[in-house]
Amino acid sequence: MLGTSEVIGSPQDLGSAVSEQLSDDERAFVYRWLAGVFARELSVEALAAYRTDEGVALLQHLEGQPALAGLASQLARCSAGEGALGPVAGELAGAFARLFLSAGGRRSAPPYESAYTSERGLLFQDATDHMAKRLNELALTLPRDFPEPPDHIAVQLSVMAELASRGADRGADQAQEELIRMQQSFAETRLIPWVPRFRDDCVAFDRSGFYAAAADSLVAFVMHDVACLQTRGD
Amino acid sequence: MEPPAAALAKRGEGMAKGTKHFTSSDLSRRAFLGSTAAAGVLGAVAPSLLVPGMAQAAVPDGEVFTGSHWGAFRATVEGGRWTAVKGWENDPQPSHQLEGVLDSVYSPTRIKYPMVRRAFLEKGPGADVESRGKDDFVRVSWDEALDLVVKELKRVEETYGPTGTYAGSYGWKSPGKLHNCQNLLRRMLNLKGSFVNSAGDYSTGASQVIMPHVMGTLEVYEQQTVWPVLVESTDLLVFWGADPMVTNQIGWIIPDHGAYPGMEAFKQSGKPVIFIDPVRNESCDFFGAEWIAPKPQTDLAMMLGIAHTMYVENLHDQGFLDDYTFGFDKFLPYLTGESDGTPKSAEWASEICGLPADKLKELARRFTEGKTMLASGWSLQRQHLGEQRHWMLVTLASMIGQIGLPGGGFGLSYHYSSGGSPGANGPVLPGITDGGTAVEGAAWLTESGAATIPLARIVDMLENPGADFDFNGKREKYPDVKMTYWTGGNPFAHHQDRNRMVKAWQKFETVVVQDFQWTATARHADIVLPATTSYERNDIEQYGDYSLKAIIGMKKVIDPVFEARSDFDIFAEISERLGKKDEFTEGKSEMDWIEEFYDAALQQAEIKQVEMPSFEEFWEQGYVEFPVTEAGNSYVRYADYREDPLLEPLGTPTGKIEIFSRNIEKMGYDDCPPHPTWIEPIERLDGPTAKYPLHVATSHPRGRLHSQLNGTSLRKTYTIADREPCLINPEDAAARGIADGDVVRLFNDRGQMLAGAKVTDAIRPGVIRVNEGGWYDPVEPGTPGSLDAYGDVNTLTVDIGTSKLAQANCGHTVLADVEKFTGDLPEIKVFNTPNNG
Repeated sequence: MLGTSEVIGSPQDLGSAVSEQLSDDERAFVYRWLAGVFARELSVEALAAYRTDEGVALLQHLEGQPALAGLASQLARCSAGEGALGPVAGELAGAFARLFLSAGGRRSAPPYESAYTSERGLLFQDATDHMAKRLNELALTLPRDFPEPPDHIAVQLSVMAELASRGADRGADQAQEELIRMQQSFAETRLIPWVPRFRDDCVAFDRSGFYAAAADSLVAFVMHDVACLQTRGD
Repeated sequence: MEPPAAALAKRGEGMAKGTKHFTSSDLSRRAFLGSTAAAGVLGAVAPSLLVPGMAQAAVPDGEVFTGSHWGAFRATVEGGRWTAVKGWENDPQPSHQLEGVLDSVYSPTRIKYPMVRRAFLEKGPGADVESRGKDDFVRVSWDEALDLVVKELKRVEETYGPTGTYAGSYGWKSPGKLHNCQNLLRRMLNLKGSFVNSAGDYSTGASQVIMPHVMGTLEVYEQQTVWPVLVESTDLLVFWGADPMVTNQIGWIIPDHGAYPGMEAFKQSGKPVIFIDPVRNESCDFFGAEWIAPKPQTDLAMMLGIAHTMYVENLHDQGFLDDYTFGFDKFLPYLTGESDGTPKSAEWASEICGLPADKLKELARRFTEGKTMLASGWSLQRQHLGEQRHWMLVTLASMIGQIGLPGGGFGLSYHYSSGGSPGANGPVLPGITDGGTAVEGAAWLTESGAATIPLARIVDMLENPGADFDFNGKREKYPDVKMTYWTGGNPFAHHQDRNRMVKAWQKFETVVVQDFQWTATARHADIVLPATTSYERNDIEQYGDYSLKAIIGMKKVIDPVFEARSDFDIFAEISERLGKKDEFTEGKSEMDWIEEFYDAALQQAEIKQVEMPSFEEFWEQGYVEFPVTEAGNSYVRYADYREDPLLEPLGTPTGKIEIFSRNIEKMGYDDCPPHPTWIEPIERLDGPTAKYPLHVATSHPRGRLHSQLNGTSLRKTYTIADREPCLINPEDAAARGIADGDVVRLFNDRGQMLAGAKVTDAIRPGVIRVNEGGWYDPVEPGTPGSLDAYGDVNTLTVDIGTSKLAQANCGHTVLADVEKFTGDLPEIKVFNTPNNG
């Protein structure tokens, strides 16, 4: 066991605790980072990267963000010390498979919008179709080594990263405003309707504590970011 | 070998070591997150998931025609997704379960990637076997998984010899002549070396062994006197332990549902129908039939009482017995009591079966008044001493004397795969073989494997390696197996006495399961391989198990999801690693094989002068139909034998119906005497050994195929309090303070499970019913004796052989008690669909 999940406040609390707005580059960075956590198991290499000077510094910076502190500190804990990372990776891979790959056929948190928004709780439903169309509009597709439906949480977070990145370093021109509206709309239609329930399942069923914290940070960050986008849009 | 986890750890050691003392407080967050250093970390921990380009839907939008155990259907495909299903327009009664088929393909319970149990991966074969069922699984690549499978196959063969691996792998694999996963498994294993095989099945294990002694054929899987003949000629239709409206929904290949128009026509005829069953089942209601409810497992005594009445009232057909049967004279002293002092009178039978003696006498008279068809289900023989029941049914039908006449006799397959659906004169499609030697006289059976056990004795085998076992006249020793490879089946649903099984399963050092979803069996495996469903690959199959009315191209509906691969591809890859790929594939692709099977049928059709299009035309059209023939529409089972018993003898030693079997006599089995005999089963309602007051009927469910589709939205059509329904009579419910809709606990000294009570007078007092096939959902996984939270009735059943003859399962032999459940309700974990919770 990796230990129990830390007590984390509700997203609303976290949202108000954040005083500073992130730049689009930073937002893109955070979305992609979150996507990486949910895309697949943390490899030994990824854990080792968090052990490098740069990795430690990164986690310290992310811990400074109230919404992300829970996940960042879990990562710091998992990569701490000098012991072999294989067992840690194994433990996390087991938790990942149990929650997200439905191993054990028991309590899990399918990381797909379809599972939460379709009538029968299935995969590959309307949300998959919406996401496939969205990716086509953005002229993006999924790499061959990621054979997942496009309504996977990691893909949705990657789309937010992409849109934020496209908006980076632009002045407050019309295209920038359009990009902000796109991000607001995407988050409100594709993420907000299901990620809180996804988080609830992660919190309820994760025995490692890691993915419960990750899902908490995910929801807190999305909620905070949507609030910030709202401010910018106004 | 170095444990993979250690190897993983080593790979990480080359990375730079961080230090807690690195400070960056002087570096602003903004500057840091935009830095090259941060980008480097991000690249390592979160590779980009989006690449430039447009996804191409591999399957065009439209309708795809294919088939399944539930029937032929048209699948609507939109944007590469399967979005709707509708039964084939030529199917007279498409099953409501088709919706569940679509669900199952997109179920969150799909196995998405090759997985290995963590302790097995890190510590090797046999590690922490007691944690199977609760241990973590971790994803591995296909290469790693297949290397591991091959390493284990070789290790076990080298260490323990040819009987080290059990590949009896039984279950309701998907139809399709190529992706027959069980034949493909054994084909691969025959190339590797050898394995332990299994004989029989869980459906008809007892009957299919005794019937060849009695009738010279398996009987249970053969065409019946067809429905139009019954409608025309039968005066009284008796269903004995069968629910044909429910069970005919499914077929071993692609069902034609031809029994439904037959049943409808019979109903319209207004002729009487009787159901003998502890439950007034759906079919009984459909026919508006008379319901007779004996105590379960007493049918043989009941039949004896009826037979005795026929004999003493001289209602039986002595001429038929003389001309067409052997051994009635040896059975008669037992019937009359001359041999044992106990006449098997209606009064004697009444004491056992709980029906009034007058009712049995009435049945004796009614059965012999006009043409009577005795149509039995298989529940009668899936009980302790089950061999005797169908033997006695045949004896009763012989005394009535109408076997081989239109509308009379007996039938053991009217409830299954639409037995009695009028047949066509179409060709027979061949399929992929396991490479073993064909068994003489039964081209579809092969004998392969270093040893064979009667399949329901798997737990006995695991518990007692080296011990003797009897089986149909032979005495052999249980092999000492160390590994199993299971595909196309879910023994953690179909096998009896779950708790004993959970413990015995720990004997395996290595368990490989290849399936498309996380069954309970997959959860108790070490290596789990994701197979495609039938709808993610191409195949070919026949339509109508008995009628063979069409050949259907089972076209791929959608591309494989996640990393699922077809069974053929998986076993071809394993064979390649064994250096036997060419031997396995014979150099042919999926479509090459399908075309070859079709062309073999085409050749037969030419000889029969039946029209069939070229393969290309067939594949384009999706199917080829064969017209029902005049002979098919008027078929009467055993008419030839009745016409000329000398020229058309049965395949028994005497060429006649054997009411007494010298072969069985020679075996000398105490639990299988040489003529139908009433013997007390190990436990029965109100019997001398009864420790619990209720019998549990474990009938086939209406809303799924055994355990298949239990994980789909079909569950909403039958669950009570989100659990398997438990039918209980108002009298039994009141005595226990149970109300309709309550969660109840069923228990005996073998196990315990929860269910939802359905209080109804459609079940006789003393009997409750929980359908078989509920997904095993232990509150404490891996712990024998754990409460099952959902309703796997095999937590309660007894795991013994029916007798030394067939050694079949006794899934209907179970006594238990039930109480209102007042503890904290454990949540159901086995269906992990958030919106279905």
